[in-house]
Order: sequence, then C-alpha cells, then structure tokens
Amino acid sequence: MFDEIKKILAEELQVNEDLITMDAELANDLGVNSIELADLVMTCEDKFNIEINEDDIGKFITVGDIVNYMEALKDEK
Amino acid sequence: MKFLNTLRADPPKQITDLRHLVYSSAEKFKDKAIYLYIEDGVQKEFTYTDLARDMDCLGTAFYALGIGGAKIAVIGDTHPKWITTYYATVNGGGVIVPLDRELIIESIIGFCCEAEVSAIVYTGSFNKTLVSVRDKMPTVKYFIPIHPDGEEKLDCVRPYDELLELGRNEIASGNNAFLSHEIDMDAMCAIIFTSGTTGASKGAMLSQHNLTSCVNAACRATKFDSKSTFVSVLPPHHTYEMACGHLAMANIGGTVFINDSLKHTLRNFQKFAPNSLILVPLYLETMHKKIWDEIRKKNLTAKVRAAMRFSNMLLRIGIDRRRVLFKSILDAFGGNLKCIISGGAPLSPHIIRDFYSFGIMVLEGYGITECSPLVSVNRADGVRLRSVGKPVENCYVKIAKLDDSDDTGEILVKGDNVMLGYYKNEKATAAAFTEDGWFRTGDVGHIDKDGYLYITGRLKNVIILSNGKNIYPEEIEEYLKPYPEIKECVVIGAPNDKGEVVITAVVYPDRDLFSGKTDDEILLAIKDIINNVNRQLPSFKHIVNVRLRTEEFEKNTSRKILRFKIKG
Repeated sequence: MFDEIKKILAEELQVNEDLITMDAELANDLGVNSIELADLVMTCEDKFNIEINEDDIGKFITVGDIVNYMEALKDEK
Repeated sequence: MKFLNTLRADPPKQITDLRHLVYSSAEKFKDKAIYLYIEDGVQKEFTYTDLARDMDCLGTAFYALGIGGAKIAVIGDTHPKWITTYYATVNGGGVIVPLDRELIIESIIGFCCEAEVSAIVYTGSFNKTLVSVRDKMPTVKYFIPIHPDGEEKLDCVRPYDELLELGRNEIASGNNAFLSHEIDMDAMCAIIFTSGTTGASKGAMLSQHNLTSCVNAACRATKFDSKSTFVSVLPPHHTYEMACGHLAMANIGGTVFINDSLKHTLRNFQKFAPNSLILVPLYLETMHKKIWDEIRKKNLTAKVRAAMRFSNMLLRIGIDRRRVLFKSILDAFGGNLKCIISGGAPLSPHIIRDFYSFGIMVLEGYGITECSPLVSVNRADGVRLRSVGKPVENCYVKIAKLDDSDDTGEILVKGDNVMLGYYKNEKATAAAFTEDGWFRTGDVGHIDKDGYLYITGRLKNVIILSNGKNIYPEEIEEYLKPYPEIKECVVIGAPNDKGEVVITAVVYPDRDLFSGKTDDEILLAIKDIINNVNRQLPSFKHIVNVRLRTEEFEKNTSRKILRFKIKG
C-alpha cells in the first residue's frame, strides 16, 4: 500500500520520491494544502475503489496516516 | 489589464431589499435554475420560482410556530434549503445566525446561547449531534433538519419539508404574517460571529440596508449577468460567499452549481464548466500550481512561456488568441472560465498575471464581515496589480495615517454597507468606530492618486490564511501551553515555500528538558507535540510549520511578548 500511495503522491505533487516516507508530514514536508489533499484523496478513492469520509481528511497529518487509513478500509472490505 | 469584451447580456437589477431581490428574480428568471446540486448521488435543480415559493412557505411556517421575527441559526453543507432559510428569516423580520460547520460542538452551543437563537436549521451531518445537546441550549425551541432521515423523533424536531407543508397550508388558510411583513431596513437581520471561538468572537450585526447595499454594489462593480455560471465552493456562513456569491448571483439571474465536496472541487470545475468563480487565494494558488505541474510533466514549460509572450504581444494590439492557444489549460477548468473574483486574503501578482495570459481575468477585492463585506474590488476595465481596487458605490474609504512620514495608515470605512455594531458588546462597538463614525478595519494600507486601495499589513494579531479563514493565534497557543517542553510559543502566519500564508508556531523550547539533544532532535520532539495538538484542532487550524528559537521572546515591561517583533 505504501508504495502505491508513494507513486500517487510523487505523480500528483511532482515531488522527489525520496521525500515520501511514512513519517513525512503532508503539509510541512511535502507542501500539500487542503485542496490538494482532498484531490489526492479523490485519486486514491478511484485507484483503490474505496470511499473516504470527507471529515476524516483533516486527520491526515503524515503519509503514514493515509497509508494506515487505506489499509484499515481495505481490511474492512 | 482589461477585458477586451466587457459587454454584458443584461444590466443588474437595483434592489430595494432582499425580499424584492427574491421576488423580482423569480418574476424575471422564472423556471431557470438558480442552483444545481448533488443529493443522494443525483443531480437536482432548484429554480428561481422554487426559491420564492419556499421562502414564503418557510417564512410563514416560522410565524405559525411562533418564531417569526426570532433568531434562527443555520449550519451545515451548502444546500438550497440552507440559503432559503436565510431569505425566509431575514425577510420575515427575523435574525439569521449563520454558523461555520467546522465549529466544535462547544462553540456551536456557545454561539446559539449568546445569540439566544430560537431554532436551528441544519443539514444531515448535524443529525443527532445538535439534539443531543439541547439541554445546553435552553432558548432553542425547534431543531429543523434539512435531511431528517436518521434524526431523532422528538416534539422539538420539525423537519424542514414538514415546515414547507405547514407554511403552504397556512398561506392557503389566510395566514399572511410573513407575506405582509414590512421590512425594517435599519433593524438587525443577521449576526455574523467573526471567529471560531466564543470567547474571542464578536457578533457583527448587519441590517437589510447593509446587505442590500452590498448586493447592488457587487452587481454593478462586476460584469456578471444572467449568462453567468458559477461553482460555489466557499461555505455560505462566510459573508463574502453569501453576499457576493449567493445574494448577488440571485440578483443577476446566474446559475450556481453547488460543489458537493472539497474532494470533488477540481473535477466539478471540469464537469460544470463555470464561466465565473468567487474564490479565496488558496484555490487560485492550487489551480496555478496544477497548471504548471501538468505543463512540466509534458516538458512544455519553455513552449508555454513562449506562447504566453506571443499572446501577450498580440493582446497589446487588440488580438485575443488566448482561448485557442491555451485551450488545453482552460479545459482543465471546464473550458469556459473567464473571470475569478478573489478575496479574503492577498494573492500573489504573478498568479494574476499568469491567469490573465491564459485568458482568465482575476479581480482582487477587499472586504471585511463588518462591511457586509465588500469594500473595494478591481473592475474588469482597469486592474491594478497589488491593489484591491477602488471602493464600491456608497462605500467610502480613508486612511488614518500612523505618522506623518508616509501615506500608510489604518483603513477606515464609512457607508451603507457598514454594520450596526457588535451584538451585546457596546465596548467592542465603541472601539470599532472613530468618534466621527468611521469603522476601523484594523487593516493597514494606502490609497494611490487614482483612488486604488492597497493593503500592506494588519494592526490585529489575527492571521488571514490563503483560504480566507481568520485564525486567532492566542487560541492555538492555548493548546501548546500545557506542554512543559515548550517554554514560550507564538503562533504567526508566515509564507511557506510556495508563498502561501500558513500557520506557523515559533517555539522557544525548554532546553533543560532536552539536555544533550541536538537542535534537529529537539525540533523532531516539538513536531510530535504539534502533531498531537493538530489532531485536537479542526483541519483549518492545523499548525503547518514550526520554527525553533534559541533565545526567549522579547517582552514589554508587563512581560507580554512583543508579537510585532516576530518576523513572518
């Protein structure tokens, strides 16, 4: 899951893949703002065929938060 | 910068009050859609006729319930029924209290108690939450869910659609309390709380006179007409979105597509293909970044730059080829976008220039809730970069010089759009006005010889983010204070690498607790604390950047930190 999210982030944000670690902070380290984050979430929804509650987006602080959330959702399915 | 073609299909109506706005638009635009929106996965339509009819029914139902003329709070996602509630309240002698849907429940309770609201209208995301705290809001008689499925079945819960039915029956049996209500133009009709916390917030009282003046001024200052199509992305509790978006759009006869989710924003631009948008800088910055990211991905940067130079040269001799040359860029936003109004926070001039080169005119304006909110805006026939334009009609601006050495000073406003005062707060009201009745904006700026206004700073601590949100730093600092690792801390707004103003914590750590640790290790530990704090805060209040200090903050004699000495 991490590798897939990493690929999406690198592609969408045009950032160096080396910067994308589980601990990397979306806003602080990768410069993601709230609209970009919402758009990224949409891309993840399409890719993994899942739906993410909009209220949960604000809880994504690090890349790891997204990965863990996606994995939990996938497990539920 | 000028629009080459600034003719509009039809001039805006001059309205006398907000009821006149609704009725005259219903008469003129009839079954044309004012709103297109997604509900239960289906696109629905709400027409100008629907708006007038539902306003009458809901307003009459409020009277039938004994809350005609009372204070009504409204909260939730943007929805035609949210907007109808606004009209039904203010046009029936009531006072609308629009609340931010991102507020924590304690703040919602606090504001409802402070404003003594009699009813709350809310969309589905607030089902069960609000009724579960009804004991803490003794003045609230009715809870009015717009989406009642899943809501508690209690006597105090009166679903919105049932009220429409009640109002319809009441009108049929001769109840004309709402229909015959005479609007008092100078009475308070809205209370807008100016920040997200009850303690720090002040409720700006606006009248029909204020709002009507803003709608007329906004319609005349822009070139929007009945062919205008918008996507509404900003929340309607923002006076900027409500007055310049919903109210002004209803007056010109435009059609508004309601963005159903932040997640879908960019896709909805493509899908609905608006020709106009009303945004805060964060959206423009993101759109700008997306455009250049795509160009870079395709290795076309040099080519696009050359095309921009060529196109700008043609423009100077009156030839406009932008919509052909930059079609693929414009198509990313649906292909029709021609004009964006930007307000709420400053926008970098290079973004305005790039959009202009691509064929989209960005008109920067300035407003403040207390001024309903529009104060000034750049007009399509004469944009001045770095300026927020000239004052709108019936609004006067002057500068109270800070000293005689330059022309910069506090921006003062007088006019039909200026609020009545702060609700139940005479002290704050007195402080907000000069002796001769000018409203003190707390913003610092100057006016050039041609009358264009420029904002250069702020007197208050409030941080204005690129998304237009006002952040009160003291509130966030309270969350950081309990941590012993943080000896002193000041929260400021500072630009990030992309030039966007983001919330930044400047921290003086307790180095005794970190003995033997390097600065990088201390920073990491402080960031962990910040992440914990962020998880307790709504997303728009998240601290984005952290800076460590090696010395404690400079203070005045009463040991108060000198905030203005901290560089952004």
